[in-house]
Amino acid sequence: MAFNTRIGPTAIAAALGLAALANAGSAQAVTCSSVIADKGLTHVIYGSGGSAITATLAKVAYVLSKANPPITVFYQDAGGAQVGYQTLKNGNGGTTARPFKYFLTLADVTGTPSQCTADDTTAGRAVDFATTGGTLALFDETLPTDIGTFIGPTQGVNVIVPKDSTETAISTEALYTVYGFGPAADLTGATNPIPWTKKEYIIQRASTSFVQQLLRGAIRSLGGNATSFPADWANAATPTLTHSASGKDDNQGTVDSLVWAAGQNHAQEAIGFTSGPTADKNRAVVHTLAYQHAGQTAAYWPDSSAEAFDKRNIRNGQYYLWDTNQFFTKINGSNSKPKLSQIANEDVKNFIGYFSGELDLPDGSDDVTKAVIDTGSIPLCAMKVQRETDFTGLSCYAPANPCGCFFEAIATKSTTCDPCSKDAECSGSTPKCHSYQYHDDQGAVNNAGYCEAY
Amino acid sequence: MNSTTYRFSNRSRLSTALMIGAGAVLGLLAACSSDDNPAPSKPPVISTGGGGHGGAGEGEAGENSEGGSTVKGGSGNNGGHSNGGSGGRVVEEEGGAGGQAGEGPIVPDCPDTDLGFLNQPSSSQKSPFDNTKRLGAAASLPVLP
Repeated sequence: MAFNTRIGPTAIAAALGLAALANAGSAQAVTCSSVIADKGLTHVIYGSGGSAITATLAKVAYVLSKANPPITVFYQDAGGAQVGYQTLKNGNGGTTARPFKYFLTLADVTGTPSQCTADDTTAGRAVDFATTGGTLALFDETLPTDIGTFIGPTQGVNVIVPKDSTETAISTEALYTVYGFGPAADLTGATNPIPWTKKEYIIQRASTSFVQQLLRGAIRSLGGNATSFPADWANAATPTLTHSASGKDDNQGTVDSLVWAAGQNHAQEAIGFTSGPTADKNRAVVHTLAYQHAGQTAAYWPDSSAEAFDKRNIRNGQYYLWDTNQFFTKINGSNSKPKLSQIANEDVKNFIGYFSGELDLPDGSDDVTKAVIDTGSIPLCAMKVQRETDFTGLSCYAPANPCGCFFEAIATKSTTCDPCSKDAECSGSTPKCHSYQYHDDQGAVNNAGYCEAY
Repeated sequence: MNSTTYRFSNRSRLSTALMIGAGAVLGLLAACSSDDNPAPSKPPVISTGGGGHGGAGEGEAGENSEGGSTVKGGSGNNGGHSNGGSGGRVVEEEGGAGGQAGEGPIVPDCPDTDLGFLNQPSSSQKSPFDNTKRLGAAASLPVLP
């Protein structure tokens, strides 16, 4: 029917506006139970943890949602890694303040993910796993006897500044000064003083976040006065959530805060820190500072250069700020060096197994490994070093099935490794051919092979 | 750490090192095959390499050599890459003297300390940070407020 009066379309528009508002309101109230029912999801698992891993987890979860059988992951990350771990212990996931994200489409991975809550948005619900960027020792947390720890990929922590900042490097001593003193720093005698002395542009995370605790540990390694460096830096810095687009304390919020500072014409005075994947995802607006750890003769980027994506200096131990992701879940039997087979929930076992690279996907593809690499994390098979603790005890590491060449090929779009399809095509110091099959984002199948040392 | 500590001055010592290295490779394989825990618990590895052969003369350069992986499981084996000797000079009538054999394995890729890793030789871009110039008095790490 044609609109034949002036009031008709106006009323319709108003009605549409009200409907849109109603939908917006209901979007906040969508429960995960209704998502599961509407989409007919099976093999559903719930998790919680920090946001350092979110970019990687999102893509892995998307890949697994397409696997056969599909696994759907609901994951909450607001509040920091420690809060995420406590959610596993306390069974209070998916409240209104900390809803679950889920990743069933590419848009959920590259943009703002879909969200849902527990049926009880106040009390929340139990989760099946938790994950943190480093060990529980970072948070002085303990492990219950029925919870096991499993290793995931490695990630860097990046000290970042707005893209327009001319600063290129920072040291541990400078971190001590910036986050320990802020505006009170005494830079007397400095011939080229650091610009990070205004509290409103020095950005910190919550003390429950992995990235803040890793930075704190690096600072404390200076010894002396630094050994008492506090967990919270409120006297020197501004919380991420002040300018976080989501209004939450998370890794992306730090980037948002630096973008805000740049918008106030204070790019030079702004500084923060975030997970490597978050920094990589935001290279259009922030850049990473090279980091010079105490005793180091120069500052290095996580990658071989400021522009590279090869993570070479994390993989070989030259860049200090990195750690290995941990997964926590209920197990049967002893939690001393538990095996995947001890995980009580079969879907969680598969999820962690695929994520860590210990289990192959049902289709035999390397899609999870590629997803980990794509998002700025480092699968263990591409690492050349390991640590005994979060901060000390570096030693060389030989993964059972090295994938350094595949890592470089995916992360940097090129590699100097020799291509191959069988061992006979490899020689010299790289006699072993490793083959890979993966899907690109459009679903096309790709095959690759590279000669490795063993 | 002075890398010359790991230089091998003659072929017998080099051979010994290579034998130890080969055994260590077997050890690595055994460790990998028996360890199904994904935790990074396997023995650390270093590269080992024999010295390059000298050039045969007539301007032929010595070959480069690069060893495979081996483990450093407590025996303290060390190896490394080595460059072949340079080629002999070309002489009109006679072949030049063979290039000098490459030096034995030097170490390398697997430092013994955390600082050794942090300060390992690198072709990566670097950016020194001068604490004195940038921090002044704060470089002494005064007591926190």
